[in-house]
Amino acid sequence: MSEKKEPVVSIKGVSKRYIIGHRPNNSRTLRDVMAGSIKGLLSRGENTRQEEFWALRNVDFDVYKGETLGIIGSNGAGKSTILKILSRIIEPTEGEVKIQGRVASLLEVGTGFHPELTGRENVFFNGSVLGMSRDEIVKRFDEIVEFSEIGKFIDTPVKFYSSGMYVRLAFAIAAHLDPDVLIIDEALAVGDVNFQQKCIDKMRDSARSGKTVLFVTHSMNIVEEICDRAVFLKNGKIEMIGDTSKVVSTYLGTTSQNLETTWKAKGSSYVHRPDNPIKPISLKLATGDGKPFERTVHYKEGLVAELVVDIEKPTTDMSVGVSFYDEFNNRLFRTSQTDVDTKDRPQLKPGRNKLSVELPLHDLREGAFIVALDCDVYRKDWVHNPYHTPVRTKFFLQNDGTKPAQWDIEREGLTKPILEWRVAD
Amino acid sequence: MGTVTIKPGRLGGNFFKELIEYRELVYYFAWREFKVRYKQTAIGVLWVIFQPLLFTLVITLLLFRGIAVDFGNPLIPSIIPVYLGMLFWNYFEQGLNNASNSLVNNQAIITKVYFPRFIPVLAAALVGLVDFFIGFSLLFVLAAWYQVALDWVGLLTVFPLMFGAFLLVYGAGLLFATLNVRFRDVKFALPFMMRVLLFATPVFYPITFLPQSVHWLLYLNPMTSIIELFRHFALGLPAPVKWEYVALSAATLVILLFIGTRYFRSKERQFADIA
Repeated sequence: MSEKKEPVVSIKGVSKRYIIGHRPNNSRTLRDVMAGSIKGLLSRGENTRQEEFWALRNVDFDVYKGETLGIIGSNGAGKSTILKILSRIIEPTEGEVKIQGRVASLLEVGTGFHPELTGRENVFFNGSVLGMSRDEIVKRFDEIVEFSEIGKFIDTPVKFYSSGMYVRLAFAIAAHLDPDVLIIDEALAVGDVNFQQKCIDKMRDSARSGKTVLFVTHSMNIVEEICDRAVFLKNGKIEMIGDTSKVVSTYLGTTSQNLETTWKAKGSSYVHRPDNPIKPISLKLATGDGKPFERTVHYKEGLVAELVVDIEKPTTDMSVGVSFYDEFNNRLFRTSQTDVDTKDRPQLKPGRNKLSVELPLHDLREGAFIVALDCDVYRKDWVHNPYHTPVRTKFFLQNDGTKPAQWDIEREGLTKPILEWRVAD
Repeated sequence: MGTVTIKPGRLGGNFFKELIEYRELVYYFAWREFKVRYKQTAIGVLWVIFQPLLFTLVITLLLFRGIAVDFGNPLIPSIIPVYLGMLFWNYFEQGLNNASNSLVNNQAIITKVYFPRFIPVLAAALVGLVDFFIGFSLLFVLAAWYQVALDWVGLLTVFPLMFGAFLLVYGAGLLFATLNVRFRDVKFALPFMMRVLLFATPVFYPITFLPQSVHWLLYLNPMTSIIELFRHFALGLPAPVKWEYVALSAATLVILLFIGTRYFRSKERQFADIA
């Protein structure tokens, strides 16, 4: 994408250590200090339970001019810490950062807004805090008011504003900063949808006009929509850095909740009722060549569901299969050995049966999916209702393969099949 | 295009360079503080005059009926030197109080945006000067009313003297503001200290009211020199008995400014971590 030249932001071996436990991070009184030092003297440092906590450990990366870089990771991964270091709010314990040009950081919208001051007064103060000169604020004032859609309320104290107005005004100021490097933390997670879109468009414009943007968010959609590259932080270290869609899928794969690719009756809380003719023993997911996997599978590896059930008296109207859901419980399909004509079916045996089926993946969007046991007897009641059965597995599918280079966002739709298009001669 | 380097021990740059670079922000901090202070008040900025005036009237009309206080010039009614004392004192007390709380009160901004951390303290010390000079204008009304002749050249000493008061508030303000970030005890200790100091400073009495043996103690507070000197230059009241005492005040001022700056510098990098 961007030709690799001098990095605008260069981060080298940055670490940040906090001492937790004995040293509280909030206000502590003189009394505590004195009590602490007396205790310290008495115990000779035995039980000074000072615990080190590395919020960041040896973080290295460069950001180039005109690039929009997303920083993702779960809570406590160090995302905010790195932004605070880049914004010069806190200093690193080790390492060095070099930034070329003017930096503006937006770790919060409306920093320094005072409820008693009018919108106009707050624009001037906030703009100044964020690094705008008086002349710049005066010059852009009308634009800011227009962007914020505040109109005539600009001379009303902001304490009378609705929360929406407050946020719009605050973001409008931020959007009119003109730095070389813009650092943003979750600032977009506010406001109504239309205004959010307006903000995203504005940020994209900034990036196109050669500004460098560093961006922390929990919203993978926004990251995929506006970032060229992404950094995935985990426990203060860089887990992965690179192309946004690859990093996002890795991140989702390692953080999706309750991913479990094996279910076993043994050791589970499943209780088999004696009147139920099909007794599940296990349900396992494996790759196309039969290798078991944990949590994540790539669509190219393929997916096989292996089902073991005990059936005392098999009948021809029994179907044993699975239902396939996305993580929002939308069923994509159900499948069983009775999907085909009677003569083509594999026959169930009395006693233990091992069934397996290859599930199609290449059309599916990336995300978490659920495979649940689905058994019934034709025109009778459910034997194992896939909506309720505890016999289920969940995995994360990585699928970055059907995104051609010229597309900068994912194709919309529940699935994304690659179909063969022809143009008539 | 400038390069910013961030590494351990590098936050906080050259004071004068940053002062020039961030002069507008200093102005906006002071401006905001001034604006906010009188919002939703009925008489607004008139409070700047009312506060010391009411105090002065209580002291001179009630207290001085029971106590004989001699400012050393029978032609000058005591209301004028007392009002002056209160003006200077108000700047000192309110300025130091605001400066000491400035970092804690602006914690939300300090943890979200970078700017040189001395700015809120400096702005608090500066904005008090506006109050002072508004209140100062009443001096001319009082002088005309009581037909007291002011020494017009002597009046000009208000500028260097207030500069001294400003340095005192800024220096001590840095010290207390830094302590306040770590130890919120400052919030309780400071008003108490101020109340004690009000009586131990010749604000509503002349220093000659007390035996000369304790004068040096009062002169440890630079405000004593500032008030006594201005009364001397502007109203022609007696000069300090010993000029060494004024030097003592100056020494305190310099030491406080030095300690305040050094302590602040050593801690400012951690404000966002512990605030």
